[in-house]
Amino acid sequence: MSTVAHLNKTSNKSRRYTALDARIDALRDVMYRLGKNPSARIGGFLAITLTTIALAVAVFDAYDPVRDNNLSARYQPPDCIVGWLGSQLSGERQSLGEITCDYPFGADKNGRDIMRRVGHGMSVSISVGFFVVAISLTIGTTVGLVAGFLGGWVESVLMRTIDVILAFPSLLLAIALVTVAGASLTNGMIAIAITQIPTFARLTRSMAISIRNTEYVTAARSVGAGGFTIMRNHVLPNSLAPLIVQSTLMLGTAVITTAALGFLGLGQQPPHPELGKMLAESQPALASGKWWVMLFPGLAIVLIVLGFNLLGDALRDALDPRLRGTN
Amino acid sequence: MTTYLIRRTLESIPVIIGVSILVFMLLRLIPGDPAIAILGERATPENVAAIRERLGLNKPLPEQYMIWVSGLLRGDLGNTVRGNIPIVNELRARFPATVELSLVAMTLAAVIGVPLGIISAVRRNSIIDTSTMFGALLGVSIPIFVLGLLLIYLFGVQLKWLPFIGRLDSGIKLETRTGLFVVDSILTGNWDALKNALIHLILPAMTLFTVPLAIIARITRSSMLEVLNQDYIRTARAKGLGERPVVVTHALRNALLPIITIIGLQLGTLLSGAVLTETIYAWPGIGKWLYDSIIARDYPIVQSVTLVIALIYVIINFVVDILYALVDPRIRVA
Amino acid sequence: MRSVLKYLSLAMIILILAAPAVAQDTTFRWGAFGNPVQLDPALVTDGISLNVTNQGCEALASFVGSTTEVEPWLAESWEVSDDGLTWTFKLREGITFHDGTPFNAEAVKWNFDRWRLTDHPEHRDEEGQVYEYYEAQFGGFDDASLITNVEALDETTVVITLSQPMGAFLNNLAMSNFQIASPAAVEAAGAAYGTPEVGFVCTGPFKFVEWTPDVQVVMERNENYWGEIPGNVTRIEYKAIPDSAARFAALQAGEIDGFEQPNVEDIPTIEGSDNMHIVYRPSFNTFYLAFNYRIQEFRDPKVRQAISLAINRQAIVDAFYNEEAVVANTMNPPTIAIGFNPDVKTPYDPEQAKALLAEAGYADGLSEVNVLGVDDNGNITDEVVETIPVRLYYMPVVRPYNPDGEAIANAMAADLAAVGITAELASAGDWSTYLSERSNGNLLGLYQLGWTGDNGDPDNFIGYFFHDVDEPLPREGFYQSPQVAALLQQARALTDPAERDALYKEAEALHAAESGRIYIAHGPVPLAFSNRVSGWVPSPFGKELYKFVTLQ
Repeated sequence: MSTVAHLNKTSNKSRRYTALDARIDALRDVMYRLGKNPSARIGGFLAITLTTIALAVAVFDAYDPVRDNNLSARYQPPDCIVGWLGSQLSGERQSLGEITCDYPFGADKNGRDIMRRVGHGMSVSISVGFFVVAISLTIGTTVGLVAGFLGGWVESVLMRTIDVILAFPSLLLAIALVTVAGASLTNGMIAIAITQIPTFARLTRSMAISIRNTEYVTAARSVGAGGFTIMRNHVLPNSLAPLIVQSTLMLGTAVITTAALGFLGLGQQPPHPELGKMLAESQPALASGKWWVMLFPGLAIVLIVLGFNLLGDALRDALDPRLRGTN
Repeated sequence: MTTYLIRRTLESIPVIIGVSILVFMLLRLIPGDPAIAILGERATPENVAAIRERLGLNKPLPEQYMIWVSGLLRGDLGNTVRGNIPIVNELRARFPATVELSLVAMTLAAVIGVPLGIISAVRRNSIIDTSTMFGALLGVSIPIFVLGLLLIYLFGVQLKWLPFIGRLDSGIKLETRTGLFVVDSILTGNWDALKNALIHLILPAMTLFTVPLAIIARITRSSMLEVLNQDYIRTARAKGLGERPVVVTHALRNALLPIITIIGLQLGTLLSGAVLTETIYAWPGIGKWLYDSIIARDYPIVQSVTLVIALIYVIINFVVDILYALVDPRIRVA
Repeated sequence: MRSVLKYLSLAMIILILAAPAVAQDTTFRWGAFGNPVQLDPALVTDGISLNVTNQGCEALASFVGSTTEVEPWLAESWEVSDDGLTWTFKLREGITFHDGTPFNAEAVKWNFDRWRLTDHPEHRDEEGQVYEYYEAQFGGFDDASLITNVEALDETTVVITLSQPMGAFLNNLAMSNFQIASPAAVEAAGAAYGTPEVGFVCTGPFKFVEWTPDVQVVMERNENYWGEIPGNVTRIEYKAIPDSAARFAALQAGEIDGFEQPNVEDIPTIEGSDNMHIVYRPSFNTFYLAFNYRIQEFRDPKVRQAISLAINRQAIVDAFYNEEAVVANTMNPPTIAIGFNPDVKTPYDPEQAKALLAEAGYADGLSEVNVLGVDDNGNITDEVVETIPVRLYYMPVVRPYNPDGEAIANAMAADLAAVGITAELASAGDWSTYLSERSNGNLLGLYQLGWTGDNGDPDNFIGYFFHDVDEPLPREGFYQSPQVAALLQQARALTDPAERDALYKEAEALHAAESGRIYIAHGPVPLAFSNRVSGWVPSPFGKELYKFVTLQ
């Protein structure tokens, strides 16, 4: 309802309704619908807050994991936070300013500050997430456009390759690729990006095919527009909405997979903090009740992924009402 | 239908060949010498050479590939580096553990997920719907290893209610026939073992089933919603049919197709989720075996397990496609 | 009268208490890391296989209790000629193998010939039977073998001739790999000897019954055993439980009676429990941090000494090792029979370290180092080929001597940072890559590694590492010390323990004076037991015999 009213209002204006206007309107419309959606608000809040924290930590806190080592504080529990929470529950509310602690989230096996490490782990997770999406988006859309537009043997070769990638569960392929390339954050990032290429490639290819034979593309061709121009001006803008939705959802997937590789010892190498690796290190300590080593990095991953997923879902609803509620 | 079947089969062949080449190449490119990994601190050049010879690492790559593939066709996956045991035997011993865990997780996910999805669709925007959908979102947002560690800490370490290691307590004797411990204990009437096997399944299955549960609930809901808006449902309602028969006989039957598809596809994905779940719970299936072999750098095992999981994944996709085509004729011509 | 009554009633109580013991369970169940590889000790190197064969097989010599000292075993005495080349063994009489065939001089000769001669019908090297330890300890096979002849003089006398004197000869003979098998059984089984169908056929207190791969090896008491069995175990079930948490759970549930190396985190739980306890195996290993001498800066003894002084070994041992672990000052551990030098001390003194670094010209700290070239003869040149950050390589696996390479490296790097050395943690890939990079001298920096002794002799400890460092040895980080090498070579060719002891101590002192390498810790291996187990005699190299075990 609101959309229609909104559009009418704009088109009533006397000047000509340009493509730019259309885009601005669409954006306004999307923002409007997002604003009304509670999951978009929660997701947006989580995603923006956590990304900001991660960015701030990466920029302002020069962390040297080697110097953050204090064997006398080995496995120190997060007593002050627990105490503060207890005081809130019992009613004699301490304010956060009243408490002082050396290790708000406790310390790990080297007596390192878990809070700082979680902060840096988050910035690793989030930046890897963005890199993965950037890489697979670039390669995937290029492959999809080229395959869909050129067709013929190029399409066959490209799409069979994509099929081979799809023949592996993505985590398994990432594990296999990293085993070969050697465990490191960069290799993990590239491996995950490779496993995500098919999503974008298939999406853009189907868009390209459906648009390839439409009248306006034929028209554009007839006035001498090259393939590149047609793709840029017609195919990409039409694929934009699903690409944005996929990218946001993929941020969550990429963060989880990065952490999974880290958990298996195939990602970020020590002493640099990474959430999955921190979780793997926490497992032996868990049996003797040292829950804090596990809880805080675990919570960080869940919140980041939840944020991106909520946002992605809401974006899908907002950008394409037909897809609302599916998948 | 036959032409579709043939076309779909032909399409799978290059994929399977591609998969086999990729898997083969992946593991030939690994840096580091597996021979030294076996010998440890005491590696000498002579010992290393002997092990390389045994593993056939000195031959040219295409020849190694042909030897490997012809072995595969004979059902020979080669031998493990450590212990020099045929991989097929080991795989046969470990595969049922993964199958049992995956099937239990998938059954639970379907049995819980489908009704939840239906209720959410019927009672759209109710509290049940909202909380199910939020739960589903949470389910896909909690990584397996975070959930697994949380469950271990809560139910294993703190409450001490449930075991979180392996498939059976080591004192329990069970004669294995199928390798699926639940089935075996029923077949042999071994109720102690059945109880023990079941309580060992709880935590791993709960860890593994969250993602498929979430996805099944969401798909069921959206698929039901789509069907419930169709004209014939409105007609059925208009005829004065009760809500229950409308939902169960008319809507559900038509919404089932995408639900079955997603269950099939998730089964394939579960196999890779098993790498994490089995590692956390020391579950002696192929996922943990893969992880252990990566750590131990036992190439031939990593290669075989990766290949087997990928092939199963391809086959499941194939079967789902065929089933889909059987039910929905439009797909055959597309 | 009253006292008589008292004693009578006491006796009754004891009788009543003791009564159930008649029907007690005397099966000893052990939870092992995994499966044996093979039950022919001559062919294997892994601890699990040897653990099994140790229960049923015996060698000419043996180690005394929980020490590294050697005593006569299947041989009741021996003599060595003055030139140290001819050893005459007098065998015990009246011993039979499990298959009933007699143990005698012919059988001993047959076993030695099988190991050392490639044309022996049961050597079977073409079928993949590798006698790795024979080769390692005795130089090789046929003409390369240091054992040149084995003669059965009569039923109970064997003469073994060596090509050169060997200080560790008796220690070698006491190794599990040189246990004597029944020639008749090996000939009958051929290549199947040691496999699950056949198992082992030896002279020891337990006989092989069955081996179900992935499940367990079962042995039972040999009622015709020639010697004494102090404990009451009648049956052994040696179970494969690969997961450490599962082993712990199995012990708690009473399904096994013991297992090796519980997680450090679980030890307090076991010690605090009413029905479990911990026994420590005396540590016979050493964890060290080595210098790569291609690093120009590390060639300065002051820098090496400063690094040694900067590392707080005690804090590392306290944080990461179990309570029985000790700081290491030398390569040879205190538990070694000869060659441990208690006078060598390597203190922690960061102030002194800073002073030494300043003296060496690094008052402002050290974060980058120069790598020197290597010429065609393997000597290090003066040419700087590369400038790299200071790297500290950590081990990618857990070993008894190193419970957590990464965490310890992190602590070490922090200690170094405190005196102004900025080291970055470096991994050299997986374990195999790490070892091969180390063997080729490519770990350009400081690197972790360690050693567990095989036979209790210092020639298999400090001698194994440094006896040929008269040239710069890539395997030992291009360490070169002709004096240390000369002492070690001299000691390995002597047979008198006192003389050898003095030489090894001197070598250790010399090595320490030049801060040739940094020794960190000796880590005892904890063993977890159910309280029904008593009488366990721990062995430095894990050669524990279940015949000593008494079960309640």
